[in-house]
Parts: sequence; C-alpha cells; structure tokens
Amino acid sequence: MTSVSSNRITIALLGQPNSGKSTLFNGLTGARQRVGNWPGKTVEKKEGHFDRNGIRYRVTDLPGTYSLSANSEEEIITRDYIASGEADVVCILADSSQLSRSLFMLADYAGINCPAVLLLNLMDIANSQGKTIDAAKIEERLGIPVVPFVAADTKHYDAFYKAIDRAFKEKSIINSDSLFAKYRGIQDGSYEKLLNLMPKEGIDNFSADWLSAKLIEGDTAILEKAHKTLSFEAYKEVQTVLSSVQNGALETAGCKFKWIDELLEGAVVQKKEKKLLSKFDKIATHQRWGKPLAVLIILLGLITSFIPATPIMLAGSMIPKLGEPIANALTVISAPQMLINFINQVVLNTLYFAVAMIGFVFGVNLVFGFLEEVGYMARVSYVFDSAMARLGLQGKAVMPLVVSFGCTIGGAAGTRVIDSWGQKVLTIALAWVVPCAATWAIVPVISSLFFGAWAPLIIVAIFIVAGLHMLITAKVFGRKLVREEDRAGLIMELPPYHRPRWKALLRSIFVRTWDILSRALRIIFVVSLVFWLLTYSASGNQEQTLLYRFGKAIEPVTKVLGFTWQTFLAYFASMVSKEAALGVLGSLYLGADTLFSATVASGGQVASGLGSVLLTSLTQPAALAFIFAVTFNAPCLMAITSTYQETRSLKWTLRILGYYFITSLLLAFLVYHISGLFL
Amino acid sequence: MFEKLIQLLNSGKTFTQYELSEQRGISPETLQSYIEYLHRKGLLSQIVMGAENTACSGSCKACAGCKACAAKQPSVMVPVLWEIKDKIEIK
Repeated sequence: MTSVSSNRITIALLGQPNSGKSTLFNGLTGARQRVGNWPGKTVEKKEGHFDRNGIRYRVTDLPGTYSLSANSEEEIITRDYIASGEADVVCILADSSQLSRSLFMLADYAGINCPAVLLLNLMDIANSQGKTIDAAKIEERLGIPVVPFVAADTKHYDAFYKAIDRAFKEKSIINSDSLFAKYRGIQDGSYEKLLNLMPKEGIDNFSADWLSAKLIEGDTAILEKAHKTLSFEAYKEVQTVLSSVQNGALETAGCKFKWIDELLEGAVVQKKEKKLLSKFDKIATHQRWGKPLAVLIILLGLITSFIPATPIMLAGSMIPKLGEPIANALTVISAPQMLINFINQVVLNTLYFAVAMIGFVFGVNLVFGFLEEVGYMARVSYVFDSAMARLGLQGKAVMPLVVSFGCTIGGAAGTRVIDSWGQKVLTIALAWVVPCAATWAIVPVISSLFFGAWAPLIIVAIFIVAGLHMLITAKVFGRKLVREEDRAGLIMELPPYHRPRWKALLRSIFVRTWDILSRALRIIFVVSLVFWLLTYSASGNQEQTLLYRFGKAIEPVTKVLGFTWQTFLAYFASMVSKEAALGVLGSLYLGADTLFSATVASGGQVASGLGSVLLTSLTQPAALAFIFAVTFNAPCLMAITSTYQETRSLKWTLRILGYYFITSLLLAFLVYHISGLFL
Repeated sequence: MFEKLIQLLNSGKTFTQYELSEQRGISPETLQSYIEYLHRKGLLSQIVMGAENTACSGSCKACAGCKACAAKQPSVMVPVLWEIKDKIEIK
C-alpha cells in the first residue's frame, strides 16, 4: 500500500446512493475538503482530511454506486480506486433501516484484499422502525469492525475512529468463505474451474475468488485484466469455461443475497408490527373471493353515496320553484320576456342540475377517495388481473382501466405504458366502457328522479351491463388486435393499509368535486343556452322552430329505439360530453311549455319545475333506455380525440366510435322494450 | 433464489409483493432488494402511472383536460408495477 506510514491513513468511503456518505464526509472533514474531478472523467472527486492523535487521516468520498460491477463510469472509478491500493481502510456504509437491501455493496466487496469497516448508518431510523440490530453478532460473522452509526450525529464519531484504527492495525479483511462456498455451487463448478486458472495471489487488490466471481458475471473489464495477466493457454481456458455460463450475474447475485440473509439471521430483530387488517387482506386479494368482494364494496360505495345525496337533490328540486316569484317580480318591473325565459330555462335549469348532482359527486368522490386512501383500490386492480387475461389484455392494462373510472381521457393516455399497439387499442376500446366520473354525476340524478328509492338498482344494472359489454367488446375487437402472445409477468406493489389522512383526503375530494361540478356547470349552461336559442320563438310557438321540426321528423325512428326526439338529441349531445345531455334535456323539455305558460298563463308550468316536466313527459322505460344509452355512448369528444392521439389511427378511432354509437342505441332498444314488459 | 422468482414471473401471471415473499419464504424487504437488483440489471422495468404519464406527460401542449395535474395525481391512484422484460431462460 502506497500511503502506509505511522502518521498517515487514507480512508475511502464506499456506499450506495443515500447511504449517508456525504454526510459522513462533511462530518469528518468539515471545511478541509477539495472538490475536483477523477482524472480524465466527468465524475466529481471529493477529498478531505482530518487530524486525530497526531495522525492525518485523508478521506476520499467515492461515487455513490450500487455495486462494484462495471455498469457505469462511477462504478469503474470506484473499483479502480480500490484496486490501486491507495486506500488503507475502506469504510462501507449501509442503511440500517433497510439492511438486506443496502448490504449488496458489502457482498460485492467481499473478496477484495483491502481492510474494511462496516458502518451501520441511520441506526436512529432503524430503531424508530422497531428494529434492533446486533452489530457484535454481524462483526463476529464478518471479521471486520462493525459500527452502529448515525452520520448526522457528528459529536459521536468515537466508535468510528476506533474502528478505523483497529481495521488499519489488524488489517481486517471480510471473512467471505461462506460466500465463496456458495459460488462453488454455480453451474457445473464453473467458479472452481476459473479459480484454478487465476493467479493465486489475485490481481492488484482483487483476490482470485473475487476475480472468478466477476468473470462469471460477464465483467468484460476483469476479463481484459485476466487477458493481460494470464498465459495464452490459461486465458483460452477461461474463455472456454465462460462460454458455458448462462445468467452468471444472476447466479452470483443470488449467492450474495443468500449470504446477506445468513449474515443478518438472528442479528436483526424487527418488533412485530400489529398487522392492520391482514385477515381482511387475505380475502381482499383472494383468487376467488377478491373479485366479488371488490364488486360488492364498489357497489356499496356507490349506493352509500345516495344517502347524503338524496336530501341535497330534493333541495335542488326547489330551485325551479323560484321561477314563478322571479318571473312575477320581473314582470312587475316590465323586464323583457326573453330575459324572464332565459332565467327560467337556462339559469335555473343549470342550477337545478348542479345542486342535484353535487351530493352524488361528493358522495362518490368521498367513498372512492376513502377506499383509495386506505389502500384498497390497489387491491381492486390486483384482483381483476385474471379478468384482464380473459379479455386478452396484458396485466398492466388494468391501470388505464382503473384510471378510466375517473376520466376516460386519462385512461386512454395511460395506455402509453402498453408497448404493443394492438393491446393499446383494445385497452382503449374497453376503457370506453368504464363509466367515468361524469357518468356518476348525471346517471344518479336521472335515476333518482324516475325511480326514487330503486335508483341504486340501476347502478347495479349498469355494472352488470358494463361487465358483459367488456366481454363482448373484447371478443369483437380482440380477434383483430391481439395476437396470441405471451403475457409478461408482473409484480404489483400494493401499498400497506393505513389509516386515512382525513385532511389530505378531504382536500383532494373537494378539489375533484369542484372540478367535476364546475365543468358540469359550464357545459350545462352553454348547452342549455344554445338549445334554448335554437328552440326560441318570439311568437311563443316552439313548433315553428327548425330544431323542433327536425326533431318531430326523426321521432318515428327514434321512438322504435326508445327515444323521444328530445332524449335522442340529448343522447347525441352526450357524445360531446355527458353533462351536455342534461343541458339539452332541460332546454328542450322546458322550452315550449314554459314559454307558453310564462307568456300566456301565470307561470304554472314554471313553478312545477323541470323535474315534474320530465316525469310527465317521459315514461320509466324511456328514461331507463336514455340512462343506458348515455352511459354506454362514446364517453366525450375529448376522449375521442385522445383515442386518436394515442392510437394514431383514424380508422380505429372511427371504428370504435361507430361501434359505441350502434351498441348504445341497440342497448337502449333492448332496455326500452324489455323494461316495457315490466314497468 | 432468482431462478424461482423469474420462473414465477415467466408464467406471465401477476403477483403482489406479499404473495411472492410468502411463496419464496423471504421478507418483503429482501424481495424488494431482489426487485431493485433485477431492475438495475434491466430485467424488470418499473411502470409508474403518476400524473406525469397520464394524459399530458407533463406537457401543457398535450393537455387533454383530465385535470390530473390540478390534483397533482391521476384521477385514480394505481399501484407501482414491475414487469419482467423478456422471458429469461433459466436452467
């Protein structure tokens, strides 16, 4: 070693990123540091020194790396530095709060003939996690000083200083015998064969064992080193041995992890945490029961959101009643009739829907936000994995589909994680089935209006139809889009269950609710206004307007499908956005009657409100047909655009659009005629 | 060790980290270190679906109006996934 002298010791700090190397370096050297570059490299080199008991300690902060392979410039610099023998003691830092993860560097170091010290840094965090680490036991197994440590606590470095001195004096090298024994088990004894070909004393600071392991890993820099050192025959032999090695890096890594496990066995004691809901999780992620449980919980969630929503909706139905006093007041001050109509049919109409839906939007967001927050929604993604397979989709397709529950646009964009184009298109085609947040804003409003306490049943029916729809849609499109291909294995990282952080949860619910509501308000207002103007007639006779005549003309056809001309136009508008359907419905149904009543009579119809107008104008089967048609129609214009953006295929975008248009009409037809038999 | 883990993933199924650590008889933390190792080796790819890779990829030009950015998260949170890249042959 170059720098060995009684009053000068060189320490190198080695560790993975975030192991606390820099903190220790600063703690040791303070202002006595120099920052430059490693010779010929762009990687930063930090050096410093401190003096203690008449000895100067030079400290080199090596780049943070995960291992000593030759994967990156940093790793090569680190390795070359250690090989050079410039350091007298290498200080390996590990994160005590996740020891088995951060000791990989130590295992990769094992076999290097340079004295070392293991610092179990972040001990305070490990303790706060309920972990007790027996450093003495690890030291006994490793044969090098092992120090429980908190790098940030610069006042208590004594044990560290002593360990450095001890490692320096005793030349303590990691006891790696059991690791090497594991290497011997690798593929037909390749390790042993290589070991016999290596120079006994190793090369530089690298022992023959370390070199053999690296060769098995396919380390080209070490192979080059061997090439330079070995005889021609020996090198040829090395190449022959290596030609039969497969996945060598995985094999040695396996040995290293096993060695770490044995090293830590009995040395790390984790205070048993109370497993929150572990029994529940067994069922929640169960192959058979997970799915029905998820469906049940989601349905219960949606149905529960009716409870706070119903009284609010009833309050909303009072709004149109304001029409009469407002109309009267405005008539008294001789306001123009058009203004009175505008307030009645556009403003109050918009407010009515807004108030009617706010309860549901809030309720749905609360329930789902809560399930998400406690960690349950991630389980839902997991249990539907087998369903993904049945639909011909990759496992990760579940993510865009889950996102579509919030917004189909996000779902379509989320398919970017899917590599195969066919899979991507199929996933988007299926994401359109998933009812988005806007659906849950408008469907409950209409359902409650027409079916009262039975409305939750409609939500259940929508779920059943959505399931069948997905199966059929996957069959229809799947053949063309998805080849029989292998599904890639996945690991899904489920978050642990935890208590909800109510403050954050409520804030995010308010943000989401407001987003949905403000969007709905804007759309309903604009659409109401447009349709009100389209059906406005100064004479008060709506039948003269172009739209009315058009509507009447198409009604014979729409009637067969279960639509009045008004609901058909509303359905059509739902393709632009779901909320627009409400705007159209409101304007068209309030239109003529209220105009007539406001000008001729004394506002009788206005007072009765939109709710009762709808109830008298539509039958229950017609309402049901409308609900299903709107739910399973194309989600919205933006979703259509984003489908095109993601698939880059106009043909497939139009194909999917056409398919949804036709199937939703077909569904309406079926629902109308079948429910007509009972209702 | 890795062989078994990779064999399980080669089957094309989806596993949770709890399931795998139970099957392999290792702690979730050890499993996590395996996953990270395989990720560093480029054998597992990480799929995170945060706000940044939903509708807009963080670009306002590509805004499709999903509102994910306003809430600083996608409209629905999804778990982190690790996908095995290509089938790795294990002897």
